[in-house]
Amino acid sequence: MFAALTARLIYVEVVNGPKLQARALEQWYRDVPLQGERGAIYDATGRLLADSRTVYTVYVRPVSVTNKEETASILSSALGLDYDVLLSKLNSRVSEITVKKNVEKDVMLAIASSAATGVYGSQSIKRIYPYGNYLTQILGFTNVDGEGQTGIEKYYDQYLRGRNGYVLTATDLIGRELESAETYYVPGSQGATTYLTVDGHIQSFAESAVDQAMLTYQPKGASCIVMNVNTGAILAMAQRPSFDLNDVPRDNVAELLQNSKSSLISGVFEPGSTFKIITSAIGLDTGAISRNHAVYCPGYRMVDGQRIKCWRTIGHGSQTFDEGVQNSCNCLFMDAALAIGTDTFYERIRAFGLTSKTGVDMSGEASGLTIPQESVKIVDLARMGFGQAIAVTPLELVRAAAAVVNGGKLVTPYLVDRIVATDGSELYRAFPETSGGVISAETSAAMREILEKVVSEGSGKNAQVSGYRIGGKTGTAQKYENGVIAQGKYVSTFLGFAPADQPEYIALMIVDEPQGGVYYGSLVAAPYIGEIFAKIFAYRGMAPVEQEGEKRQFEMPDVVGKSLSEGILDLRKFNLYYESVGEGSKIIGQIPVAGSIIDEDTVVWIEIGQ
Amino acid sequence: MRLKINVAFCSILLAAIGIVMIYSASSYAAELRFGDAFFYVKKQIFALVAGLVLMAFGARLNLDLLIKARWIVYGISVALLLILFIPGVGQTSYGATRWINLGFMTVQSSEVAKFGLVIFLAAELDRNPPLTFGKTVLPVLAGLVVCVAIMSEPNMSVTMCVALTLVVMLIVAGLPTAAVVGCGALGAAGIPALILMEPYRVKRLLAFLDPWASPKAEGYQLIQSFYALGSGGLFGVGLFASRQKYLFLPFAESDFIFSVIGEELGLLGSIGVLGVFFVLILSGIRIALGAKDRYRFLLASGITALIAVQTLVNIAVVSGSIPPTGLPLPYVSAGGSSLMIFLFASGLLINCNRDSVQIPDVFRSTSRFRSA
Repeated sequence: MFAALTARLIYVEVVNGPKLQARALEQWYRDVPLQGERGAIYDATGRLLADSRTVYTVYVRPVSVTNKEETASILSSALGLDYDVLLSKLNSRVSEITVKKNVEKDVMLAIASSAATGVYGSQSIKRIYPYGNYLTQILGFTNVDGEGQTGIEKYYDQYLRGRNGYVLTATDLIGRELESAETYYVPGSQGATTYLTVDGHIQSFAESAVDQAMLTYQPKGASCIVMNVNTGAILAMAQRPSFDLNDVPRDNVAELLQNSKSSLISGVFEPGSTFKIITSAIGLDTGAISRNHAVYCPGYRMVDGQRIKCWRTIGHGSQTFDEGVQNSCNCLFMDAALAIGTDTFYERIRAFGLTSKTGVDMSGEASGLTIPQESVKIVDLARMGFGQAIAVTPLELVRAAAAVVNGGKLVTPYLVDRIVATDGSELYRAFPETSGGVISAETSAAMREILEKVVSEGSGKNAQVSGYRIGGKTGTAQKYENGVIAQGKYVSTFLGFAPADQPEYIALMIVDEPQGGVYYGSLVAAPYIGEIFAKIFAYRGMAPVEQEGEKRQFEMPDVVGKSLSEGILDLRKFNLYYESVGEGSKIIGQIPVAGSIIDEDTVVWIEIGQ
Repeated sequence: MRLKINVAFCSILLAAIGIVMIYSASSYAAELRFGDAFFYVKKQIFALVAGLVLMAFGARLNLDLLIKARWIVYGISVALLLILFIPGVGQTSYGATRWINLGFMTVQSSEVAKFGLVIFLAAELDRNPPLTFGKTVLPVLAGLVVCVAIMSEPNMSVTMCVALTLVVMLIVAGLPTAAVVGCGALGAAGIPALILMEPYRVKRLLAFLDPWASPKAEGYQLIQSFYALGSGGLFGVGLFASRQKYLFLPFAESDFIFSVIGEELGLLGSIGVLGVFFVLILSGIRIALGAKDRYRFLLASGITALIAVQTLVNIAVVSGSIPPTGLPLPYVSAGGSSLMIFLFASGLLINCNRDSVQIPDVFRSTSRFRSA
């Protein structure tokens, strides 16, 4: 029996010893975590977009508090807490209380040097975003524990996250520190630094564009993206409504969820006229339609016995293909789509990546919605030709349009350029991924030319920057609610690229439900893209290709009450272009109002009636 | 002679080790609870001094008087157990009424009663040998009365110790094998019944099989004991350096003192302590075998059996070899009445060996009390 017990003791003490001791260690030490500092996020130019600052979490172990009243009074005044509540907590039998988080260092030091007892501080890391409400949906935010919850903070969390360290203090069963307390300090390590493709300057241009749009049109929302046409590197992404990343409004969860998602990546919309870029490219590339094609627009097309209206109900008359694009004539694109045919059309929109996710480095990406190919009716195909009956994400649209103008390469949009560890080693570097041959280089060149004319001569005039070559396409899509057209609800868009002959930048502006009666993409969205490009040219020091004199400025003539033909003549005198709404022969409204100072070569808006 | 010295030396050595280890194991908890780090140590030292006097008395007592006084001894034993049932006398803690508070100290009735029974049985079983089945009826009944009384406190572990000692004594007294097997079977059948009677015993049994299943409840004590022993390793973490004594290990100074020994002194220390017990018990057996008469043989056997059973059970519990049960380690664990009674028993054991050649030096001055 003694032998058996001896054997048992050898087993427990020596054979099993290390395993048991390891378990015992867990209960002998109270560990207070030291959060490893989270890696910083920089833009492509070295601008600091997100950083971490050390703050303290104040703990109290009530059993170690010898002067409860005094400690409660010191803590309540230093931390702005209620004295009575705090005192009752100190008198409780809990082993540890978290008194306050996010306490600044100087406050913590003041407490540490006061007469308070049983107070402990653990360092933690607070995330700060120097620009506040800026690149909000893309940067994202972290939770109180420093885990990325949205945006880049979430997608690249494993890189950004620091490794936690610990302070281990020897305690007894209920957490009282031992007199001979050994304290082990295991430092945390800092997370990796992330460099975005986003250029802070261009981002600022985009941010001010969406801010301006919100002020001017009071829309439901506004968003803007600028991307490198050839690589897919995203240079700017701005969105409103938004919020300050330093003060995340967590009270309204549904709203926060809505505003923290990038609508450019996670939302789908019916692209409307901007989609005509794609239809044109497919039509020309497949040879279904040629630039020499003459098209007559009576204001509608009869398709399969159904009358589908052109946006300009009085018709565009006889046009060349190029003119048809400039006029954004729906009849042209119905013809084109029908000539392409459903199978080829679907094959091509798949090749343009409009039915699949782009693969951007952001979670929650959506992908386009199309009518199932086998159930597409002729009228559906005709509508898809001008961007209805199809939904895509703005990012998919931008990428497809980029392929149209960059020579036919489909890029993979990306936001992070590289991630660098604290020791300087590179953990990640983006390699632009492109797959070529979506359309031929010739078709692409033709499309650049056509789309440049849209800006220089057509509905995209407001995006013009004098001295520079810009291409683009306007879009004004009607919104659907429960399957029917929602009256007065539009999405105004403009998709532009520059320089038109050798594109570098592609940009999309979306104004969702502009208020105040003006909703054409040419009027609402195009000017912002023009402004952004103008700023980019200045910032990048790109020389204008042709010097022009100052634009003439003059007072807007009063055309209200005049007949349509008379009014148009008046506008032409000042080199003004117009968008019209309504049917009839008389002008009954105009924007801007008579007497406003305007530039020549801009697009104005007139309302026509009987 | 050597045997007597062995018994005296081992007993005192164990008590001394006990005092050092009690200090180490209890000082932190005692300071917290009573504001006196030496709370348990002081009581133990007092008990040691009293115990040494009792040991000397036991070694010198006229053992033959005890034969005549066997009914008185037995009566006192049963009375001590029964007195616990008088409300206000018995002191209850941890759900059991086991102690009588004498003011200056508490006495655990069963500690006294189990030795009282041994003395009674030795005398009773010695009467007109050889032992037949019929002659065992009275001793067995007497033993059962004590068992039932202790069981009612309740105190299952002491009951089992007493029952085992009873069986050992019956065997060495020469009870026919068939009868012993019968008793054994009866006893074995009783254990599951006793366990099933109380839900907490079932839980403890389950916790023994897998302590990690309930690390905060039934399995806690055993896990903490494992932690202590496992941390000790081969050489221990060093005297007074236990971490488990910081309230993690319950009853560190009493029932689980051996865990602290294992933690601080390692495998070598725990085997060393086990070795001292081994020498003590071996000496007890040899005293019994070499006793001058059957009565002394039975008495020495009973005492040795009691020491052996309680030691083995305690260490088996602490090392997770049998289900946990609350039993102090003889001589070592904190507990005044236990230490005193065991030292008295050591004295009786020495007394059984008295009539061989010499008297140990320590007792020489009082040698006039030597029995005939």
